Amino acid sequence: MTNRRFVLTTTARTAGCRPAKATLPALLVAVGFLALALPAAAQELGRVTGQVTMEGSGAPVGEVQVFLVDTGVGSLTRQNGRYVLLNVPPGNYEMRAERIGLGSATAQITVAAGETVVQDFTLTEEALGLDEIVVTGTAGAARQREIGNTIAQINVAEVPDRPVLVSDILQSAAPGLEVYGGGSVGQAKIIRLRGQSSVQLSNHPLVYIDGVRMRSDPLPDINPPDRRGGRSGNISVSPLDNINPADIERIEVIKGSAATTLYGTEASAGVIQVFTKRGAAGAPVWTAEVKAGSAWSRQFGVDTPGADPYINMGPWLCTGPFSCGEYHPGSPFTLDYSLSVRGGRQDLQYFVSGGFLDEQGYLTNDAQKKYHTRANFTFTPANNLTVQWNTAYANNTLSMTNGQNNAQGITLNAFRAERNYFGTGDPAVLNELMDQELNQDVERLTTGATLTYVPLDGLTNRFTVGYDWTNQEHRNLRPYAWRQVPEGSLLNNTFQNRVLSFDYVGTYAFDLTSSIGSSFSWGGQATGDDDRMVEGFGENFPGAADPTLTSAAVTQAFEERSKIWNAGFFFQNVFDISDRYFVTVGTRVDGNSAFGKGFGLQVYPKLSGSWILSDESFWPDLGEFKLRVAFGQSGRAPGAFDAVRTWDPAGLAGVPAFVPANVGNDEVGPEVTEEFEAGFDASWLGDRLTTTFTVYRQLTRDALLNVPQIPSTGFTNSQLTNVGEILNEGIELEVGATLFESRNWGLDLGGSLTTNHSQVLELGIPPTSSLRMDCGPNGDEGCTLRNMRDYRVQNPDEIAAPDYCPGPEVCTEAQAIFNDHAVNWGPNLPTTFIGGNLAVRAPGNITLYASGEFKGGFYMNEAVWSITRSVRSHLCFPWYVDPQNAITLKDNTPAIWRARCNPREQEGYMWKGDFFKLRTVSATIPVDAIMPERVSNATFTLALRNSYLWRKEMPYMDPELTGDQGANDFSNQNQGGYNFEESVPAPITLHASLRIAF
Amino acid sequence: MNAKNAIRSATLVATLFGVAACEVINPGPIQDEFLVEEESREGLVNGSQRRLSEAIGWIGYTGALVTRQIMPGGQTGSYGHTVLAQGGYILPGAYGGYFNDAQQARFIAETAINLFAESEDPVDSNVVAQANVWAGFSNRILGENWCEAVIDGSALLPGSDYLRRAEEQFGTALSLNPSETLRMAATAGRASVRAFLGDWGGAASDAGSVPDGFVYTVASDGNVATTRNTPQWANARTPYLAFTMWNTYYGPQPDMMAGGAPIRASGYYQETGDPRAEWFEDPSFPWSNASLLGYGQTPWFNQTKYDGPSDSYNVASGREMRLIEAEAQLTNGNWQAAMTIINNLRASYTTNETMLHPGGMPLEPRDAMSLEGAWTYLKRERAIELFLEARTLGDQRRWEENGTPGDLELPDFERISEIFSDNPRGTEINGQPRLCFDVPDSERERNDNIQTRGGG
Repeated sequence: MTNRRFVLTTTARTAGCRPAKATLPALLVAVGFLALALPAAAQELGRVTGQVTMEGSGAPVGEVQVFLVDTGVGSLTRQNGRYVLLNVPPGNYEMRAERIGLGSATAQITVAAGETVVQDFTLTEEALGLDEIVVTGTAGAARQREIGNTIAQINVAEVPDRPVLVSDILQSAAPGLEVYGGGSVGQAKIIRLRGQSSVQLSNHPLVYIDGVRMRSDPLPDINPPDRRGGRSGNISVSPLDNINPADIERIEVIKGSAATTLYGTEASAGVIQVFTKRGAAGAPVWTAEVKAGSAWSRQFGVDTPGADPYINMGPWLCTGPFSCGEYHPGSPFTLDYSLSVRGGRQDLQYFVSGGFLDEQGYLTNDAQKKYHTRANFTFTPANNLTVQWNTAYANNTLSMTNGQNNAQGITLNAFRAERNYFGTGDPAVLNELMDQELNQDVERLTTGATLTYVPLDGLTNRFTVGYDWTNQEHRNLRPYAWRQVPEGSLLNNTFQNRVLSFDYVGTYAFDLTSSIGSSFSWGGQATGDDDRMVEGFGENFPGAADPTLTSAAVTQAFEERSKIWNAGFFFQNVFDISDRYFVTVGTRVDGNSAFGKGFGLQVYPKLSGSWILSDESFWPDLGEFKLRVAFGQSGRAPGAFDAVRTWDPAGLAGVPAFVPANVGNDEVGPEVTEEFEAGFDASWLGDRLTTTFTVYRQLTRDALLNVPQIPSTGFTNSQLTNVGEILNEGIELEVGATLFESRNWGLDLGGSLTTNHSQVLELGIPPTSSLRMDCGPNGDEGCTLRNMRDYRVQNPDEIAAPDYCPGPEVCTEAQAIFNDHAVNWGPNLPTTFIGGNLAVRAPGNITLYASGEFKGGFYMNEAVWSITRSVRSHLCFPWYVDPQNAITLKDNTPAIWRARCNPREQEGYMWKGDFFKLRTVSATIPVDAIMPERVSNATFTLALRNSYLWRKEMPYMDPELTGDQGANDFSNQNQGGYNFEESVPAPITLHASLRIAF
Repeated sequence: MNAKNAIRSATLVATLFGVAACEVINPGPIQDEFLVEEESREGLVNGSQRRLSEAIGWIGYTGALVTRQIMPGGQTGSYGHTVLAQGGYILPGAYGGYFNDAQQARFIAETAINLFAESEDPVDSNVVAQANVWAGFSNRILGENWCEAVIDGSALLPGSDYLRRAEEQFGTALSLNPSETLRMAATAGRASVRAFLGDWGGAASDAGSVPDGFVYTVASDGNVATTRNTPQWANARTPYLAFTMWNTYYGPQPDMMAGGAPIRASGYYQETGDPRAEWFEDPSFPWSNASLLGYGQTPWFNQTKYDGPSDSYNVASGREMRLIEAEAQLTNGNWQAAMTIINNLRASYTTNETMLHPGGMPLEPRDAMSLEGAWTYLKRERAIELFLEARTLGDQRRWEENGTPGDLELPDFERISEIFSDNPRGTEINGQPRLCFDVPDSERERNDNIQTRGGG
């Protein structure tokens, strides 16, 4: 026993001393040691077996943690609900079965030497989980019943289609949580919580992992300095997607300022917190998973005779799992391997994992290899002290296709055919573009330790220190003798981000009276966010050998650094009245190094309440019902240089030069968003029907807008200033129903309805050319964010010239422009979201699942493929006299098509963007029966994602694209816009997964 | 745990975290107060040159389209122009970026002049003179290319105010007894603004003291996008091939019977071998990018004045001074004397060999028969000498508005596409067509002393 303890301790230390250099082989060796350390001493032992089922239906429940309390002996149930605990020393035990989302069950058992004890458990589904502990947005931790705001919890074990990416887990996972864009291998998706409430700062939520702040925004999309030598792959990599989904236990999401007040500045876009798996006392449980799959493009061109359904991209694209163009290296594939082990003793528990992802995309040069390792340790040196130390390292090597709006990219040149930068649409010529090498190597390390110290009953102190490090090397080579840069060029950009965070929370719980409890919390956080970028650019190589920057005849170097510290403290008190009325009042005070010197500190108040109505005596026995209401504020910080009047050291031809940069704003402070939300959580019909409803209203009073300066006064850059007022509001409704349930069969149906409307209440200054919402002569106030404004063809079906004037007057486009006859069509961001999912459980616990999502209430203005450049638009083929050679229109062309297909007008391309996508169709099949007894759990999953698209108006493409604005473009009010300029839509994917635990 | 301990802990935490957001100074951009340092003076003055370089590049490029010195290829995106601008129309209120560059060049130089004047330490007179020279050239580009002036948030002023400011700044530079180069630059600069203002006596006097071989330039830097030679880069296969010399006065003429196919042995350059008007073609890139609306892809022929992205721009030269002297003579009706000056200037160039010219000899003289003919040659000679230097738009405006005799000999773009007939050259100022840029909306919208277009 002594030796065993010694080995465990030593292994933990070894893993902890070298976190940054952990590699997969080293990790596996460590895991092996752990496993070898654990065989029990030889003595006559017993075993415990049984089955866990659901109350009522009797359906078996898999992945339930079944363990003997305080012994370190435990196991997970198989999909048929069965478990076996081997090598149990004789004795009396308290035995427990528990799983997130279900209640726990306890039994007392006695194990005798050489005998088998059968112990079955029945679990009850906690429809609302009112007593589940949540952490995010609370001071320390709280029960769901205490919280006045809505909080979404995603239990990853319950995600049916076993996605490869964390962002795919989040997609459609909760009302108000929107994930879109992306599609290329390694490309970040845009994540929005309750839409967009900031015009010019990031609307990406903050991301925490196990209490440690990590880089939240996608990494920069690196392009050569001044874009010389051409752009890159237009791919932003997501730190979130560098977390291995197999390591995640659950994800908590809070969506607005009413919930994020305690996070203070930078949190008004919401917070996502990922909780990874922890060790559990018991014998080591190994989990291995292999995913294999493929990806291919859906048709995105038109079916018109003579047109290419893939708009000339066929040679570089896979259009089926085994059907790729002649310039694609072969079938696209995804291979994802992961292995983990968890176990430990009462005083030290571990979870260690490793993984490898190998992927070839559906575009020629899209590929990635990704390695993950993770080690989580929980150490309990004393009864009142727990230390949790989590470390993860990921390495992602990415090759990109030169796509999107890139003059040296394949999509732009293929789409534009002979009007491109080669003067020919010949694929053999364009294929030279594939000789570019666009690579990224992203390394990420996140480590953090949390000490929880409970010196006295009711007093909890929690201190977390975290460090999140990102290193992104972006290499962009145009080789020697390459057509468009004959002497070659090379960019090497290394971007680093360090986030150092400290977080202390103290909570003291005490009773004010016999029926009123109080939980007083205090704490503070400090976060330093440090960006460093060093870039080298070289051109003119001496020959064709594989170059480095040193090989270039002309080289340049660039460097940028910025650091922002945010620190604050808070106080909060939760009043608990009879365990059914809860009132929370608190405040957070922040300082930030980016605030102006004259600004001072920012105070963010919060107030919320909840009432467990179903605990009242008058409430009929219908189920649980919780009313909640919350108000709170949080903010977004300005940039590192916004407060200060600065000059850029620029240089000219080797001589130093200064030019005006930022006029400075001594009073600049955070953009403060206040949010009011109210709603209820309810279960009905014996928990067979659940309903969650929330209405929210976010008001940003000090919206930071880039206010243009007066050019003739010298400082021509716009200055971020707290001038605007933005409203963002909507509702969230989610319904889940168990329509049928028996031991062998079950049918669950879920649905959600979300609305989101945002508008500018005040711009703060008269609209200008560079600061406007483009809402026309009546001004921008009351205008939706990302408003779409354009001319309307009034006589679309008439065989005549397009008429752009409303009313009896007939006018040309030029006259309409002169008289400002443009109309406001609506927002570019969806305003209505309808989700639905269906789960069927069949005998053998086979589960069939499907989910889909409708997005509507938005418009996209998509002039097809630079028609202004006389590119022959495939959409216009039916109206061209000679579609293969010229753009002359037929005499019987209706007005709308004259507007669309005449390069001088290129109007009439405003479409309703409404669409429906079948997100997932999956089958989950338990295969324990064909596995050895040693295997406690085996599941095979087959998942088809993104397989069906319905569009309301758009005759081509996938509306759910963001063009090359990318996931982290916050400028010019472009962020998050739906737009597909010269991009290829996200693929259809088919993945099979086999996951076994033993 | 009692309340006292809780309060003590809370206070400690509040103190620790409240002071933690200490001041962070990030490297890179520098703050205002460093500008007064002696070590910053040269960089501050040079900042004006940098912005002036950017202004000349873009104004010269767009101005060449409007003045029909180059033919658009149809490119509308990067390094291209809108269809309106390709046609020669300057959208009122547009081109705020050009205005910003020129205004900032002026602002930086004038800021430096003021800082130097306030300095308690002595400032090198050459540095002060240099600031005045850049301020003068910055005001000159504003005055030559904008019909109306705005200075430091003022109301609209006559465009000539820029030029009077420039004249004064060149004069200040000369009064500081600077180096010979700066003295020549200031003299030549003053000659050019005096010519624009119609002070031909003063202009000729200044011009006369600048030798033929003097050239004063603004640097470009091909390593940085904003300061690389704009007209060169726009046509440097980077990948842009945005304009062509085809169908210009200098380039091959189109055979309209053959759909516009270039007649290589045609145009001024082929006829004269004038090295200033040289062009070339590349069989690998026969066409400009994109497609000229109303025509299609245009044959691509490139200029050679700028053959690298770091080629500098001339802002003053002895050759221009000779043309100022010639123009002063024309203004007085002495067209023969003017032609003598022009032809002497031409004779200083050695011709290239072309399909129509043997090359290797002095550039042939022009043979004017009248005052009007001499004016035509003067106008052409200035256009050639100042090609792509952001000067010709101003020249064409002052000649038109002064009712100067002679012909601009504009090439027939209208035969190629209706965009040239649909879009009148220049812009409208107060409803009147004028060959200049308009004060941009970015200034009108934020400057309370100026009405927005439409009167708001």
